Amino acid sequence: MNFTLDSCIATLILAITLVYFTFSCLSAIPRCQHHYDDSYTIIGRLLRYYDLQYAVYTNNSKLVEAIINSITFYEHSYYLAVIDPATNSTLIEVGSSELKSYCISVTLPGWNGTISPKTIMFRIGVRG
Amino acid sequence: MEYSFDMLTSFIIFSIAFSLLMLGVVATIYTVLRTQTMALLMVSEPYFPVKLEVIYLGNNTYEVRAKKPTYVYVVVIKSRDEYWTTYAVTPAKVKGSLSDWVIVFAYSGIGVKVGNPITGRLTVSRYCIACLKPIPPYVVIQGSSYTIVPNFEVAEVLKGPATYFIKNGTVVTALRG
Repeated sequence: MNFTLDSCIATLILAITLVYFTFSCLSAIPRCQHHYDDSYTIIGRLLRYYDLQYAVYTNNSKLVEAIINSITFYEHSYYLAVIDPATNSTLIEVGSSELKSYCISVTLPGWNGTISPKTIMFRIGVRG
Repeated sequence: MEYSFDMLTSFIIFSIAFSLLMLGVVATIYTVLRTQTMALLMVSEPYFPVKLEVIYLGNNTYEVRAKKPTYVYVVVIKSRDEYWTTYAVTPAKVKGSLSDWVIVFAYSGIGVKVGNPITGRLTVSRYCIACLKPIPPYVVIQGSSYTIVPNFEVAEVLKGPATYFIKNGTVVTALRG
């Protein structure tokens, strides 16, 4: 019965190997996946209409937040800052400033027939 | 004889064990690959990231709800020729009777409350009932049914091999409206 005993031991080793392999592979599966449009796409869509421009030029940060919430998934984080290039001061700042994804910037030339450049910086990501 | 029986038994045991091991390895690899590429399979139908609810509160009042305060446009349609629009930040209360259509537009989300059947075809955009093809997303009403035209194209109707690409560690659609 020596061969049978050997094969039983080999089977045990194979079973342990399989369990270890399965666990190590399953741990590589991500728990959840997030997909979102990039920052350029989102800003491009927002600037198609004039709601964001209106909110920026009326200095309404609550409205800016509501407008961005209307285009992003509620679990995603974002960061938007409006900067006055003339004075280099931050006029509006909403969202999570700790987000690490790449930042894009767009400069609005003015509003309602007046020249008043405002630079919008925006980034979107997960768990910022 | 006993020696042969021992060899045969050990061979059968080891063969079965080895076959099960191979099956297990293949099943594990298949599961991992399928789970990791599931994202490509899941986006084969329109999916809006912003969920909007239209709740009737009674007394000819609706409430529009979303997970976070969201800027929305609301179109209330009484009939083909009678409608009105407004915009608000959720949660928002809107006047309208039970027979009205209430259509709520966010930038990436649409909520529809079905009303009385409307004769013919009606295209509703965020600002008005449109005659021409408006910028998506919009809603097409036909009778008592409706179709949402999203502001993106789903994977099945996209042309070309580069439907998706990896950017910043995430899968991103390559073509969006």
